Amino acid sequence: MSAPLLELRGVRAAYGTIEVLHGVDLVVPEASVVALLGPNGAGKTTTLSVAAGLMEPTSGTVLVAGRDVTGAGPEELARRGLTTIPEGKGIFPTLTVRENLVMATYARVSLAHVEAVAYERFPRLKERRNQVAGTLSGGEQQMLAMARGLAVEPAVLLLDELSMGLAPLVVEELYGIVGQIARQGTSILVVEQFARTVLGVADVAAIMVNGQIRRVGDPSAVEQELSAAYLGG
Amino acid sequence: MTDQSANPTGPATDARIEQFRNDVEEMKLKGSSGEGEKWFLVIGVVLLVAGVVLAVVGAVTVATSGASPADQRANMAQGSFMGIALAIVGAALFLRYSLARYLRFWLIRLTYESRANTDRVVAAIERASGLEPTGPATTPPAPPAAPPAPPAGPTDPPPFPQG
Repeated sequence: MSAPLLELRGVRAAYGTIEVLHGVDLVVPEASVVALLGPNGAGKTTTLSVAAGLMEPTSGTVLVAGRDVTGAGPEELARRGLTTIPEGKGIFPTLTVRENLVMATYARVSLAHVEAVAYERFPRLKERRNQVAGTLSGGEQQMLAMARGLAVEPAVLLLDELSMGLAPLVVEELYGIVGQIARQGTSILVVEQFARTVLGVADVAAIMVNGQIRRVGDPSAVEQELSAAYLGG
Repeated sequence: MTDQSANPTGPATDARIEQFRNDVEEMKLKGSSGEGEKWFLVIGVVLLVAGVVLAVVGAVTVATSGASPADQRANMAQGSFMGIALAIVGAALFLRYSLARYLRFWLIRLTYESRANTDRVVAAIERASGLEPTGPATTPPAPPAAPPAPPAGPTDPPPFPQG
């Protein structure tokens, strides 16, 4: 059996002297969706930052495709296919939709290809390609962020708080797209605070509390423990 | 959980995954710069302390063991100069690397605050114009709690929103 595309082993991470991850073990197998859920301040985003190479763990290892890449730069990992779509979308609000897509060509992908992928997946972006990104609706901005990430054909996709500030219907639509992406073979680690919608597309769910993975298992089983985790149970 | 043996995807995806595995395998990984920085900081402190000790203790010892006042002065000068030189090198190393850490964290903090401010302005404009607020602009993240400490030593990063 081949190594999982992303694995965190005993990862500890700190902001200065304050340790926020206390030995996180997490596996994202090939072609699967792993949902990382937990209350605010649990360390979910930090876990994602460590996985993406944005933050260096104080101890533990990050394995990508079975290789220890602890300390590798985020741009190196991104160029090879480990793509992060950050919390708060991470688009350029003063640029147009098309100009935002141009920014995805850093990975040596032609603009024509980036646009083709983006507009096929999100037809609404084609209608708004000359509109300034900051004036799009929240859902469309998230679509743009996803389109930019998907245009480089990621092998592993890290999604942070996809549902943040969006209406439930829009969240449902976006997770429908996430499900399609996963079915096409991309491994996805998605971090969410509230949206149970993600459990519908996830193969594995993990609950994180106080910098530790409290529970890993089938999404339906994990869902029952979510409330207790949020309420400190 | 997805069954790894039964890949639901096509050959194109398999090829992409294979390429990803190969690309990661060929990555040239360099050592952590943060670790090196920590070591230089430690070396700086050690040199600084050793230099001061050598300058004071060494100079006194060498001076008292000299046969004549001329020898004592010469020995004292040698001991003191060596100690002072070490202390200067140690202090320079310490300042160089503690300042680098401090300025890096300061820059991150400025960027973070600037983003939070932009979010607040966008939210205010949207509220004023009666538009439906979009995304996180409606709830700008709380600014970092406290300003970074002065560059007296290795500094902590500003607090980030965690989640």
